[in-house]
Amino acid sequence: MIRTELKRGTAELAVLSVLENGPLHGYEIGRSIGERSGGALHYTLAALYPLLYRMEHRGWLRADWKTGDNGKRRRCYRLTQRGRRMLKPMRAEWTDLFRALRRVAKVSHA
Amino acid sequence: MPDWRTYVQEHLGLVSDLRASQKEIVSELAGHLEERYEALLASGIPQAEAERLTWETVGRWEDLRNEIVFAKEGFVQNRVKQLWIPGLVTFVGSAGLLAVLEYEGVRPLVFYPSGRSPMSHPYDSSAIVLNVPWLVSLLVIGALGAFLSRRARATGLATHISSAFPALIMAVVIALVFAGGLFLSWSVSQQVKELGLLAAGFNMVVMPGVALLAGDLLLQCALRRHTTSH
Repeated sequence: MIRTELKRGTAELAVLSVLENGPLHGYEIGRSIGERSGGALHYTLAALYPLLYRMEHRGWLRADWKTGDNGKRRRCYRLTQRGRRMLKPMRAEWTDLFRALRRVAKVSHA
Repeated sequence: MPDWRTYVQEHLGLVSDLRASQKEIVSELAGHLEERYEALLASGIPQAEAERLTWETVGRWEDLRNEIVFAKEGFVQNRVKQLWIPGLVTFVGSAGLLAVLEYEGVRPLVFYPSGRSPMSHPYDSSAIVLNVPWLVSLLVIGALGAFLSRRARATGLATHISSAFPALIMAVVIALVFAGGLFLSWSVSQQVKELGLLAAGFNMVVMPGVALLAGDLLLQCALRRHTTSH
């Protein structure tokens, strides 16, 4: 299990990455991150939604209410151009971090 | 099925008279919990256990409440930086430039309606006044407003409003004058005639607004080209 402090730093990249393939509502974002990370990353509502609101107000995400196939209205988030532009440098930053950790602490990634 | 809306509303401490933004937050969080609960039920988990597990996905309500309030305060600060400060800069800049140009004796082109001659008053209220140097300088002012707004991470509408802020202020002033005229029992046609409302709207709202937004547009194009080249 990954500690909360560590997860917090990864959340922005995780959200941007799962939205790269198309819009999702909050629950789907959380579920998608959980599935893709093999259950290692899962965020509570208290962690996820304030983050989504902040990212929306930074202009990285845009949210619109949409009615799904089941007739329920959900607020769907999608990447803006600015959000999409953030992905590349953010990925590079994390890659650098892992490389540095590997050298310092013998940390390896799968 | 639990009433997730009421559940969220109560736990966020939002009991009555919700603002539109608060209603949206409640609906969104309730929707999330509902999805989670239904997914758990669909996977064969009994109701009571599904409810407990759904409850667990919230984390600490206190954190959620505080984080949302914190985020909201942040939004207010953002609005000041993204909208009000750039808007004030464009307003002061455009008014200041107009004053400087008039002080320097730059005279605008004035087009009178057909069949009317120039009056002793500086401008006939129904004349179209074209202050070319001012309108050109508004391109820069509009671009500056958009730049300041974008620098504060604003997008879309906020940047356009920041750019066109002086024109929007004038639109409000003209609308108030119009409403004041109606209050004083003037007829609409009398107002249009006496105040030159159409000409005023064109001179003080449409033309400056177009120039300011053109500045905004030029900046956006320049930034897009800059981003593409990198």
